[in-house]
Amino acid sequence: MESYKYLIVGGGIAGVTAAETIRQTDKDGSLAIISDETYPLYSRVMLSKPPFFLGKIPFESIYMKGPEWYAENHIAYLAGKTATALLPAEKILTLSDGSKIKYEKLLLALGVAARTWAVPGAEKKGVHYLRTLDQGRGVIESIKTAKRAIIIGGGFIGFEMADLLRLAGLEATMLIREKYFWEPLLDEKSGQMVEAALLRTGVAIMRETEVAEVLGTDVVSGVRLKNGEVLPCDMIMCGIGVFSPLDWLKDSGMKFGRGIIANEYLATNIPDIWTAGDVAEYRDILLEETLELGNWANAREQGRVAGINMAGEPMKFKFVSFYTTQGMGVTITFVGDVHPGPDRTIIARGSPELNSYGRIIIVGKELVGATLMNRTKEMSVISKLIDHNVDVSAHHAELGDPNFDLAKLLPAN
Amino acid sequence: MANTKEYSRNRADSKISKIVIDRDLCIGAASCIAVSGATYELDGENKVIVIGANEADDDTLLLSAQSCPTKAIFLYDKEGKQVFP
Repeated sequence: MESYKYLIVGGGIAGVTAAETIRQTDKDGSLAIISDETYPLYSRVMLSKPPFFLGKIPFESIYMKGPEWYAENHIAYLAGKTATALLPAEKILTLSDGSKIKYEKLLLALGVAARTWAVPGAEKKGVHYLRTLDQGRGVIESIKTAKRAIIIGGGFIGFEMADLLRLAGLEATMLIREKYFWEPLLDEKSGQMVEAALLRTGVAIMRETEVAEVLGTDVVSGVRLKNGEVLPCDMIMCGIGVFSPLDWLKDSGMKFGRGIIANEYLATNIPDIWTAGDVAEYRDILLEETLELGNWANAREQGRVAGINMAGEPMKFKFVSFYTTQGMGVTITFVGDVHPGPDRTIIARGSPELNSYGRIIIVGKELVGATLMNRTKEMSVISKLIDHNVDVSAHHAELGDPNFDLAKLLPAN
Repeated sequence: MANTKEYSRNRADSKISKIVIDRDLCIGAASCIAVSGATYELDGENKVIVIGANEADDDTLLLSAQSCPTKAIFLYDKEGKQVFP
């Protein structure tokens, strides 16, 4: 049976950064990365950015590591395989090809999967998701001949795909189930700012709309909505959320909810098993909450800290994460935890009329996060306010004043 | 390239003489800063700017450019030839 000192399941940024970090202190301990894809590390972020997508830069720019990186660092790359069972007492992982691998330390950096659209006809050619490089290739191909696209879902994928489709010269209509774009992660005002940008770019938006059936032969030709209306199209982009397929762990004793439960050291409830990245439902010591955060910066930093812990140095994960997307003249930035909840106090900063609108999210006395529309310049100072656990209970008025310099609330250093 | 900022580099032992940041590509992931905090910093718009073009050696500079998830860092040699990406 193959056996490794460090076994990492997941070849994305979390898994690879963990491997890279382990190698900084342990050059010889045997290390393998298992990935369900066959490519070396590539940038999932870049997959939906115009220069790559529209072919303005070489396709190979997507790769962040070449095969030689794995060889040079003595990292075995077990590509095109999925983990199917875990026996924690024996420390054995079973893979999709039937092979069993023994490990001393295990990292589950599984990422998340794109939610599958469950309407009749959704399996027709021309219905696309965008998670993997192969799916990206498929979309790039479709765009060459398609004239009319329908986007299902309002979120990162919907936003970025709308931008790309219009840049590629297609007609585009976005169908969302909610009342406004990205409800409830964005509030109505922020959502409407995005919608205004979409409309200016020529994207039609249909709110509170759901598809009943995808029409066509084996290739998509349109959709029939629940209200009976038929919309013709020759391609569909589906961005309706993500989930973690963790069923294979149900007999392992691993604690998991929406994601794999981790403490502040990114350790799971099973000894010698850690988790990092989009799949981790981790204890955030800054926010004092358990949360699951899917973005590049978080995945990379969690991979690094998990790697440090696995190599033998206990280190708490302490990081205010963030993500920015921009297109069609608008920038959307999320900092920290932006999930709505009854315990949240929201303070508005600026307004849609000013074309600069932020929402500061407070729980108790401290900031936990913010959504910023065209106010990315405050991302850094807001991160610091969260990081330093600044008590803002006496400063709500200042927080609500868009001209007030938030840096004044930071501890004097 | 539309929204770019160029920085000259004149480090004695270096083959790289220009660093260019594409501000449209930059998403502020800050992995370059993690590689070389002496070279880069985030500005008020959460985009990367170069604060010390001569601080890092070529290997480190290349690593920092390679770490960027959107390949927003471009490196050029003395003849103006693109070294990375």
